[in-house]
Amino acid sequence: MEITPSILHTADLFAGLSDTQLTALAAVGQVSVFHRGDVILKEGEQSTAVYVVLKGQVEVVSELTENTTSLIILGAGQSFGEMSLLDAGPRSATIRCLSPEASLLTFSRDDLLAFWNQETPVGYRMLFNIARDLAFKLRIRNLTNALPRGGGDL
Amino acid sequence: MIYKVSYVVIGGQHRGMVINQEVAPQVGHRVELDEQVCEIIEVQELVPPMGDFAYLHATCRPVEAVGDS
Repeated sequence: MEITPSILHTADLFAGLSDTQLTALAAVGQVSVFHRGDVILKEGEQSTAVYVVLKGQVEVVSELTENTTSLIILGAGQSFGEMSLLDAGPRSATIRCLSPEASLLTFSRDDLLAFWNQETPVGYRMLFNIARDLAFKLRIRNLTNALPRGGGDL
Repeated sequence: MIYKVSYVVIGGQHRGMVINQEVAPQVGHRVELDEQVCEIIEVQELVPPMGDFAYLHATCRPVEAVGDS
């Protein structure tokens, strides 16, 4: 799958970046293809990559209790793994491929931080976008917790 | 405009979904969420729009499962 600026423009992690910046950023990342049921990352593990869903759907799964719980589905344009990027902590949930096939753009933490150090305006913009996405997720959690029987989580 | 939409289905039977789409969700529209057809009953702005992105939350009710006759 060829990564073009037009594809990346639809992901809010990259909001506000120019075509030139997106092209440079795409060269830092790597496209990975997963199939239904594949575990993309596992809760509790110490990996630090960040992922953006380019195509397909993945599900966020919690294995904290005895019963595995599917929390939410993430479709095109969504990113995950950014918490480990920020705090280098263990993964807070398992991510599994839900659609027959899903294409993800993957950035290693070290590569992304090195790129941000080199291209400071890109780093500032992407960190702002990550913060905005976390605010979005917190507001969803507040709203869904108010619904009867929860209704969903992130 | 890109709409980042959080879909939640009342009743807790469906886990919900977040997706970026180019069409704004509207009350009365039907969407398919993981093989579940749902009708949108409310749309709220979750975070003020910025640049090309709008951040919305759509509450839905289940209508029928895909493939049901």
